[in-house]
Amino acid sequence: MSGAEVIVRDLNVVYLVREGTIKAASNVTLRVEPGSVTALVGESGSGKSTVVEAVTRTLPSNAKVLGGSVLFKGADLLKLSEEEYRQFRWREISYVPQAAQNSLNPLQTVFEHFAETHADVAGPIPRSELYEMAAKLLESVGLDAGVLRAYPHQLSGGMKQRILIALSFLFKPSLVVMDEPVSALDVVNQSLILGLISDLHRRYGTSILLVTHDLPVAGELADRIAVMYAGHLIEMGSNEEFFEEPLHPYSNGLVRSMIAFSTELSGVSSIPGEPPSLLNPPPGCRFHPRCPRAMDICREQEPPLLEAGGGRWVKCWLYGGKA
Amino acid sequence: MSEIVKLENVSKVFRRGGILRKESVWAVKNASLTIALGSRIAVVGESGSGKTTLARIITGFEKPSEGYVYWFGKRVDELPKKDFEKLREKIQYVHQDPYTSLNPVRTVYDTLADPLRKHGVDNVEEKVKELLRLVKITPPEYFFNKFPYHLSGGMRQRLAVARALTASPQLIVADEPISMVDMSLRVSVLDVLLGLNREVGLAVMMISHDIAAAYYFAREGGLLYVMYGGRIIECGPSEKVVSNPFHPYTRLLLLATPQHKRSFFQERISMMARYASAKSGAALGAGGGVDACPYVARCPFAAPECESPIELKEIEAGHYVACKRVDALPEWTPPPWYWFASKRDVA
Repeated sequence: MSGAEVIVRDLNVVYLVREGTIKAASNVTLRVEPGSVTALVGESGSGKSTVVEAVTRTLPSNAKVLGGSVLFKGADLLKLSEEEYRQFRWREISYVPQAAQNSLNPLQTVFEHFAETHADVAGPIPRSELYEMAAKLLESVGLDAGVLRAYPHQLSGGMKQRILIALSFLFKPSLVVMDEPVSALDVVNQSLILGLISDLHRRYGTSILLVTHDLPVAGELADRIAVMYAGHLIEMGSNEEFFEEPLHPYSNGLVRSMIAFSTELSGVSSIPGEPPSLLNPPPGCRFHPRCPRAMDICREQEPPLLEAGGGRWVKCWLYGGKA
Repeated sequence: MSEIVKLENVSKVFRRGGILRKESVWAVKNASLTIALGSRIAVVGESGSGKTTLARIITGFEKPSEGYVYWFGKRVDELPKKDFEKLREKIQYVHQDPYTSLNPVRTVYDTLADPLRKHGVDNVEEKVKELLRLVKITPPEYFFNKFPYHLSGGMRQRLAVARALTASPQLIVADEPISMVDMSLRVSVLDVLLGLNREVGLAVMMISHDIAAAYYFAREGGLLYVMYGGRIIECGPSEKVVSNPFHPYTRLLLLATPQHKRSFFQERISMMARYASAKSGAALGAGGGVDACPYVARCPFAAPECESPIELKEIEAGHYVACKRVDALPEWTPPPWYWFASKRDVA
């Protein structure tokens, strides 16, 4: 077991709502390198959860995949039947959704969560064997085996999140998708859990797709950073290069708006304007109304995702491309 | 009178439970502070630390259980109702959630014009324009007929600040003004609050759970207060608190704040571990008596004397710490990822 590659190509997902269709992910192309931690960064409503829900096949019922593919271990996950996808769920791809603490069943002990998941995916195994397995996983997230007897209401938010992370490693999958795994926790627990995720990644070599709105968190944990804005994936590249020299004007604005002790605060500034409505996104590049470097072509044509050298990709006309 | 608000040993206790079992929760314990005219203060603490209760006591939404609150030198509990209402207008509270704090069926113009008329302002339209410019909602005329749902979270929050300004206050207390605002717009809200202080001369208090944001707001001339378990455990000029912190919890908070460089991540986590003991699962304020240090159950440096009443002591000019174990703490050197630490190396 080690990390697998994921390639999302030209993914288009819309939500059908009373007011029309929300273009939540448009022509999204994203690659998770085998064994890497890839952070998918963006503000609320940028479409990052939509992309991971497409990868994990957990889109809500009003979502419609209009096109694209998600390639994983030789299969296109979007084309699989529900039954075929079951072979992947938990075993190959596990998913820790946002606000996952609420997804524990209040009527079941922690052990029952492990037992039920195991029975569902791979059939029941002897209690003692499973107990040992669960205890070992809990140990790797800094929890005592005694927690297995506890009910969710007896646990703190940080403990619940640790349990869900432990559970996601039950079958040693080759991809773990985590949507905002620390955003609901206090800063101390946030850091401790980020440390655990990093340890688990090092131990198992799993590929991790980490969704976060928090740029410093992405910077601390990720090998590669992918940025979404208004339903477009606009930049993808290695961590250090990204922070050193963000290519897309939006990425640049985002890095400059970051407030952390590692940044020079006198240079911090916000991005003027506001994100567009995805019911009626602007034509061309969706960032052009806020972009300080917008050109005529940006208002008319959507830029392709261009290779900018050194494994970096950017969806911006400033970096060439033919109309 | 150069003080807007003064708190003297203020405590607030909430009682919960039924007939059989009553429990007292000290949301704020023994807080003393002064908010001077034109001052800038950031209060930082995690949820449950008492920072919102403190803000509600300062702004008169909550009466203290013990101690006294003074507004402009007058004891608030002795004020006749009319005077109370009048002074209260000078101390404005800005709510955390800009999605529920604005009336959704009122335009931007009416949101500001109605209270201005109520306060007897003559030139309402001019004043509305001035306020919108002040909070960087420009061009003002363009936004007159917009409704709150047309605005981004950052803009709504700035509109809420503008509405607070309609009463011509001396002090604005903003409770977690950026926690519900997108990250690329957070700076715009903080900068508007900073501008009100630096350019207009208003006193502004900002409450946050994010010590980096609190420092951004209070840097260069502001004060930083750190709360834990209902107590002010450290306070002083923001630069001093951030570069020379004493209380183990302040140090923990600083080290728990993500920075963006991968090369420092492991070092940050191990430095942080020095200030959170293995008992770190202990709940906020757990253990110890009412007067004990609220951090005692989590503190790796705790000793028996930490159970006796604590108080803030001046440790360097203007910098106060409520910790009995100051001498037992390891020496503090600014973490290598600090911007000003790396700058110092260069210099």
